Amino acid sequence: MSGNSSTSRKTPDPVPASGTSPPLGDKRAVPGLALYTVLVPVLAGAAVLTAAACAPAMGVFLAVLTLALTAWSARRLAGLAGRAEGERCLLTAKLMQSQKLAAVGELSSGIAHEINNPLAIISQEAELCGALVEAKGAMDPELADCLAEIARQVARGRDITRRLLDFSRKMEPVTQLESLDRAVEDMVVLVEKEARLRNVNVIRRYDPDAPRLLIDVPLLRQAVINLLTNALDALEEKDQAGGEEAHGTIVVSTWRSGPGEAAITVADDGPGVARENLARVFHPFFTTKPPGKGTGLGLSITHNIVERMGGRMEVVSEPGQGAAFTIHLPLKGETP
Amino acid sequence: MSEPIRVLIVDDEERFRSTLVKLLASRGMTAAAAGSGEEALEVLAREPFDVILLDVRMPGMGGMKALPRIKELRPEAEVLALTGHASVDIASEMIAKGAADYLLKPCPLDELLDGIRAAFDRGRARKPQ
Repeated sequence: MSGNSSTSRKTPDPVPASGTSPPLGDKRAVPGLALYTVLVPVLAGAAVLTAAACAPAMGVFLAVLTLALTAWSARRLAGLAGRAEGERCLLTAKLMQSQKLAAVGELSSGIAHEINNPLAIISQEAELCGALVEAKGAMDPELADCLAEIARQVARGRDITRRLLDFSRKMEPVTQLESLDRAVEDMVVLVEKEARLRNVNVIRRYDPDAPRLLIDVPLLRQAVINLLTNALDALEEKDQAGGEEAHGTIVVSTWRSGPGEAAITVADDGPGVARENLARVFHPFFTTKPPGKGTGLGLSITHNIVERMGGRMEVVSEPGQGAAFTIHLPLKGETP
Repeated sequence: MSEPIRVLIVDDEERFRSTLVKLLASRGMTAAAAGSGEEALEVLAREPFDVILLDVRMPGMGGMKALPRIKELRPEAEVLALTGHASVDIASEMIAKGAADYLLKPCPLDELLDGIRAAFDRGRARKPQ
């Protein structure tokens, strides 16, 4: 079963999602300010005092040396100040951009909500109209076609509002410190009821020292729920193949996957992924589900979300022995 | 013959409530409606329901605030959150507060009926025989 925590997995080798970028690690060396603010003035002062007590030729040499030292120091300090100002401007611009995007996202989400309510009423009125006409025995093909068209257009409107809601989620990540386990557990609770209905066990293997990460919590939740839904769907395929006796298991683990990384693994003991499909599972619209059962976007969206958070994804699977999808996240802003 | 499923619809859209009451009645269920969280609590204090369809965003007491009080008043009732606002966070919070499921408006009638029946079956399975 693929349900063991991936820390113990030896084979097969994990397949990384193509196009993943390395975890962010923006650690530029910043020269110590003490050099320019303490050491250089002290050296200059010492040179002046020494010049006063020694021969004129030596005094001239020390004066030139002090001049060179202070000029060099002033130039470096000016460079540092310029760089700090540049970074401040960049941060301000980023903040303004993220505030704008957040406002647009909020607006799209609000509009979607406002449109969904009237759509729900239109849909129900059409249903009731059909039921009333049918009860009176007055339904004719043209009327039935009209009602079906209303239902189709409601579905079209609903797709538009879903896209608006998707758009509202496509903002720059808004990060906050959150426990990895908590973000994962929230989603596990959400799918657990559905899992129980489908005779699927959900096992938690959380790292007792799970770190708190600087992450976009709603985005991470979206990524995790996509993996859980994917696992449930995979087990449904197994269930259909195995009849009533087939009970699936999903193991959700959090663990340290490296010195600067934490990971979440969602493993199932479903039919697994065929070797030739492993490299494609994260591609948009790739699906092995029957037509109408899946859009093939779930894992692709998850992969995009994880990339935006500076992380990477990989999948480990053997046909017939389940699959394990892992999200690796950089430990930015980790607290002990 | 089995007892009809008793459904309480809690939604601030008057037309949504009234039409859904008729639709559920046409499918053999007994339905009543309330326009806010406060009204729902008043109705529930008077009579029990098997399934409660609860809108999340309503003027006055919304679904998020009403849910714990509903579960306190009628722990045996199964609550289905029904909202036009699709958000994993809201869904997760509603489930954490005791909702059985989370449905998104506009929800096709068959899907809604399936949700109600599944919630009803779950509630019955939980009841001591």
